[in-house]
Amino acid sequence: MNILLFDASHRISGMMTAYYQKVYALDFTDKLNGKGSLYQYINGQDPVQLITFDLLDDQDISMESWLNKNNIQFDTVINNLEHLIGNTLTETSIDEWRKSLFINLHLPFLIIKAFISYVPDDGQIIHISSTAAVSGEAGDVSYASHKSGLESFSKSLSKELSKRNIRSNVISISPKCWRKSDGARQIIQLLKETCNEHMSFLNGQVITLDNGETLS
Amino acid sequence: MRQTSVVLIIGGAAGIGQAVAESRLKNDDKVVFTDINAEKGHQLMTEWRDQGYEATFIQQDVTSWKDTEKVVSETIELYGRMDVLIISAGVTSQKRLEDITVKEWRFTLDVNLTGLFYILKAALPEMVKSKGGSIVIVGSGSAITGSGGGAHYAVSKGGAFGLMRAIANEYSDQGIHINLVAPRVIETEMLDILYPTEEAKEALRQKIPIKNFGTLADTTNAINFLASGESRYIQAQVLLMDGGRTYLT
Ligand SMILES: NC(=O)c1ccc[n+]([C@@H]2O[C@H](COP(=O)([O-])OP(=O)(O)OC[C@H]3O[C@@H](n4cnc5c(N)ncnc54)[C@H](O)[C@@H]3O)[C@@H](O)[C@H]2O)c1
Repeated sequence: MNILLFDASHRISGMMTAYYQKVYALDFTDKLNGKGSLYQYINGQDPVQLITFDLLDDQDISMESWLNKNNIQFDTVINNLEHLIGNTLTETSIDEWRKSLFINLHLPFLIIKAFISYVPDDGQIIHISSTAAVSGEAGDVSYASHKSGLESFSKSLSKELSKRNIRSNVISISPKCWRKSDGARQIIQLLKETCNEHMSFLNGQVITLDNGETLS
Repeated sequence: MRQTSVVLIIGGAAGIGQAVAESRLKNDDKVVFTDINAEKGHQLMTEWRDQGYEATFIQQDVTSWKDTEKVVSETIELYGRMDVLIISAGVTSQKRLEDITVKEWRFTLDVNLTGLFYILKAALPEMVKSKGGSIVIVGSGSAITGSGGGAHYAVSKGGAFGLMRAIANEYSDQGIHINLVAPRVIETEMLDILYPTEEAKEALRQKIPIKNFGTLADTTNAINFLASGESRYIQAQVLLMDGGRTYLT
């Protein structure tokens, strides 16, 4: 199974290689301008840079050509883009709101639009979200709003792409889970289960990993 | 005796916003309404004033922070307070993912989501100063189903859920009463955009368990309830108005 992660931390991409031989990741050098490189992660080795990309440049077809030339498809695309500032409504400036909107919502749209033709029928998309989308946990107005928009995006994708049997689900994680010492391992475990091809009936869902705390 | 309220309606020159404005004016409330459509806004203001109602129109593009700040400051200048805020302005277009251009994506999110953030950011400090008030956001069932208007629309309306909850977290203890109505299929111009032919409308009608579209009166009733003291204990909720469609398949 080929996995494409976008903007995963090296930790998550690296951990995925314990289960999958071919893990690719889009790492951004300049998120706000949609620029970065595609890397391949191989267990126990340093990631290998394959090609650069510029999502905002319509003329830039280097990634497309490279994928076509190497005949690459991605069975699973994992969206782990995240931008969290931690500001209340009054503290959030217009610029900060726009930055969060761009990273948490515009970029996933651009990437999925660009890569969807490289996802085979029966493939899938998984978005990593946060329980803040539902609880609006005090502390980041933009993040709560944009993650909740992302959950609706996943539902739209699951409806639209179901004709190609492509599934789209969300894994919603509480901030506490990320902070737990074995939190990343639990997240990877859930990702692995969701990726499992035997889970073909799991579609359009939000799976929450929060130790029940969202229902406070 | 019922106290008159100062009601600010964003996107009040058509559809749901206009219907809410009319119902509030009939209740003798003081209504300030905004819209990007200045011609229709001024025409309605003249009509309503001729009927003896206290209505004020301010032109606003919700994607402009400057316009939004002006709306709030003029409302406060006029009445010194804002008791109720209804946010109804919105745009939609029925598009498949591959056909949504980057420009359309940005436009829809700018109007439906950033516009919402702007008005909340501008109005909340004033509402808190005058000891709170009620806010009702007009969202959409598309946020729950991911359908009806394309991914860009669903995302913009989904974002409103999280924003509403974040605001509730921050302001519930400061007298702010906030909820969201999520209609699906209300008879307005927006419905004509999404389902332009009678055939398409009939096919849609058959998908709704009660075999009828929602009316403007249905929506107005729900919004006015959520904006009133009668729903005081209902907080940070999404009220789905869909004739049973979402959960009864
Ligand atoms: N009608 C439905 O079936 C339905 C269903 C679900 C949700 N909604 C939501 O209800 C709300 C009202 O919809 P409606 O059916 O009354 O639509 P409508 O088109 O009749 O009214 C929307 C109003 O918003 C105004 N507007 C648009 N862009 C604006 C901008 N940039 N700045 C200021 N005003 C702007 C328009 O000029 C119009 O007067 C929308 O947010 C819509 O998404 C409607």
